[in-house]
Amino acid sequence: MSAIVIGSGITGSNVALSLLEKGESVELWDFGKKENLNTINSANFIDFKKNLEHSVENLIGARNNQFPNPYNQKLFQIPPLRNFILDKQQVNNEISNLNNFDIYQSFNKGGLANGWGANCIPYNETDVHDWGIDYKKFSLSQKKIFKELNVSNINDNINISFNIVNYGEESSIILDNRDDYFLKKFTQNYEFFKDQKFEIGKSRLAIKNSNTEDSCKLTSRCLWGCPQNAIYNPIHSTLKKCKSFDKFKYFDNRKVSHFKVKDSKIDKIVFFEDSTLKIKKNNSKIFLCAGAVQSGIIFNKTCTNNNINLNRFTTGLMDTKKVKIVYLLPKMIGKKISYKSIQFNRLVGAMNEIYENRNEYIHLEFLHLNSLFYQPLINNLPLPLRLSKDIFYKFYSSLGVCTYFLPDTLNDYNKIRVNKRNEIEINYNENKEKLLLDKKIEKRIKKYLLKMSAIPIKTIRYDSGAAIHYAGTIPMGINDKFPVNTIGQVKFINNLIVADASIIPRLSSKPVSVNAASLGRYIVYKNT
Amino acid sequence: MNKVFTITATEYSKYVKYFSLMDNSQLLEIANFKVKNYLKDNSISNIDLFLESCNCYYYDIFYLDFFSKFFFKKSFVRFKFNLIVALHESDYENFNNMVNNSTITKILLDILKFVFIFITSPLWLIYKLLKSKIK
Repeated sequence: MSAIVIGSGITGSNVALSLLEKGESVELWDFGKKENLNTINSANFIDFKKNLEHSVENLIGARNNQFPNPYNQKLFQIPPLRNFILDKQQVNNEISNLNNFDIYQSFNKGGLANGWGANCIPYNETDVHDWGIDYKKFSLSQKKIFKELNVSNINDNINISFNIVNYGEESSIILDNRDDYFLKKFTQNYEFFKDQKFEIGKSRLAIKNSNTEDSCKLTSRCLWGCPQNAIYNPIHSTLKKCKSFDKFKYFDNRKVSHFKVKDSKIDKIVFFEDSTLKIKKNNSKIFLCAGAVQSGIIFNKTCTNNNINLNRFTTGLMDTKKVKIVYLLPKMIGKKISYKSIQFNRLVGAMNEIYENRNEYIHLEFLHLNSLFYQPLINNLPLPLRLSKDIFYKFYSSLGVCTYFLPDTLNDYNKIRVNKRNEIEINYNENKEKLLLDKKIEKRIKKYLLKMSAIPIKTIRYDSGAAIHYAGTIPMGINDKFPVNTIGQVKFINNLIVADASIIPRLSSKPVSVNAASLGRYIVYKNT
Repeated sequence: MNKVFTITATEYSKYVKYFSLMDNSQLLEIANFKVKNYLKDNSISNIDLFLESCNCYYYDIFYLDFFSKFFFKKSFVRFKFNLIVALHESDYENFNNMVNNSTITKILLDILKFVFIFITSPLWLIYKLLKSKIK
C-alpha cells in the first residue's frame, strides 16, 4: 500500500514516520514556509536582544499590525519574531468570516509545533472512554510519541491523584529559586490543597534536558526560537527520520484544496503547487493531518464539491479557551532575575471541576514573567503610562502568570462550513456553562494563589480560538451521526483517513498536540 | 505625512525625559515610520488635533498621559506614548536601563505628581480649551 499524508506538523510527520516503520511507501505533502529564524547563539534572551541587528523590527515587527492600537491591544500575543509561523493573509484569503474566533493558522513547515511550548499531559482512559477507541493500543502510541518528543519523566502527585501515566523519559527541567519558593509554599499548605484536590508539579515539556550536545542550555528565548533545537520541532527530528527511509517522498510545496470523489473513493487530488492549481489522479490511501482547522476546511470543501450532504453528520469546532491570572509574589520583589529561567512554565497545576455533567481535568501552567515583551501589560495597568512603566519594572521580578485552559464540547453552532457563496466561514460562540466554569475556576485559583502567598492582580480572558488547541472539525464516534468511524476512516470516502485532532469528539483541558500525535499513530496502527 | 503628527526631535527628547529613557535617534526614525503607518489606517479626530495642540511644554505631557489613560483611550497621543515605550523596550540598552532605574522613591514622587495633576487637570483643560478658542 502507498499512502499520502497531508500536513507535516507534529501529527503529520509522526503519522508519516509510523507508516514508514510499518513498511509503507509514503508521500508527505506540505505547504510550508521555511523557518527564517535568526539563530544567533546568544546566552539568554537579553543577549539575544543585544545581538539582533534590527531588534525593533524583530521584536515589534516592521508593520503596525504587530503593534496594534493600545486601545485594543492584547496581552502576550505571540512574540512578533514568531509571527512567521502565522499567515493572516492566507487566512483572510481562505476564510471569509471568522465569527468570534481568533484563529491562529500556520503555514510554516512543522506547523504550529514549530513554535509551541505546550505541556505534554497524556489523555487517560476517562478522557477517551466515549470515543470508542482501544485505550490499551492508544496508550502504546502515547508511549512512542512521548519518547519521540523527548517529554520529561515526572513522577509526582499529579500522576497519582489524576490518573496520569508517566510516559516521559527525558530529564526534567531545572527549577529556579522562584519556582522553589512557590513549591515550598504549596508543600507547606499541602493538607489544604489535598482537601481541595489541587496539585502542583513540574512541567511536562517536550524539551531535551539531558546532558547532550543538543540539550537545552539557553532557556530564556524559547519562544523566539531554539538555536540548539532542544525544543521539539518535527523538522529537526521526526521529519529527518522520515527522510532516512527510501520509501519516503517529501513534497514541501503542495497545498491541498479538496478531493474529487468517485465511487466512494478519492479519485483525484486538487492542490496548489507553487501557487499553480493542479489535479493528480490518486490510487493511495490518504491520511489527512493538516491540523483541525485546515483539515476541516479541506473536508468541507470536498463534501461541497462532491455534493455530499453533511447535514446528517455532526461536525464542529472546539478550542480550550485560555485565561491568564497575573499575580505578584511579594517575597520576590527586588530579587535578581535569572535569565536562565525559561520562558515556558516550569510548574503545572491540576484540579477537577464539573463541566457538562463530567468531572473534568483542568490544566494550569505557572509562568514567571521574566523575559517577555512588556508594553502591552504596562499599557493595561490602570495608571498613567509613566507611572505604570516605573511600577511595572520595580515589581516585575515578582510577577507571574497562571494560565488555565477550559475543556470544550461539540455543539451545533460552532463549526467550519462552506456558505452559499462557496466561501469558508467559521462560527464560534462560548456556551453559558463554559462561562460559568471559567468563573468557578478563576475563583478557586485566586484562593489558591493567596494561600501560596501570591496576590492575584488581573484576570485576562482571551478570545475563543486563541488557545490554539483546535479539535473536533470532523469528529469520530461509534454511532451514525459522526462522519468518521473510530479508526479515523471517513464513512463515505473509503480511502480517506483523518488522523489528527479533527477527529477528537470531546476536548479535554489538557494540551492537544501530543495527544493528537498519539491518536495519529494509533490510527495508523488501526489502518495498516 | 501631516507634519502636525510627526514626532520632532524636540518632542522626542521630551518623551525620553518623561519616560526616563535613553536617547536613540534610530528609534525616533522608526517611531515616525510607525506613526505614518498608523495614520494610513486610522482617521484623526478633532480630539486628536486638540490634544496635539496641547502638547507644548514638558509638563503638558503629564496631563496628556493622565487624560489619555482615563478619558481619551483611543486617542493618537496614547498610541504615540505606547509606541515610544514599546520601541525603547525592544532596544537592549534602554531595556536594561528601564529594569535598573525604577526606584520606590521615584514611584512615590510620581504618585504625588499625579495627585497634583489629577487635582489641577480641570484647570489645565479649561486653560487649553480657552487657548485653542482664542487661536
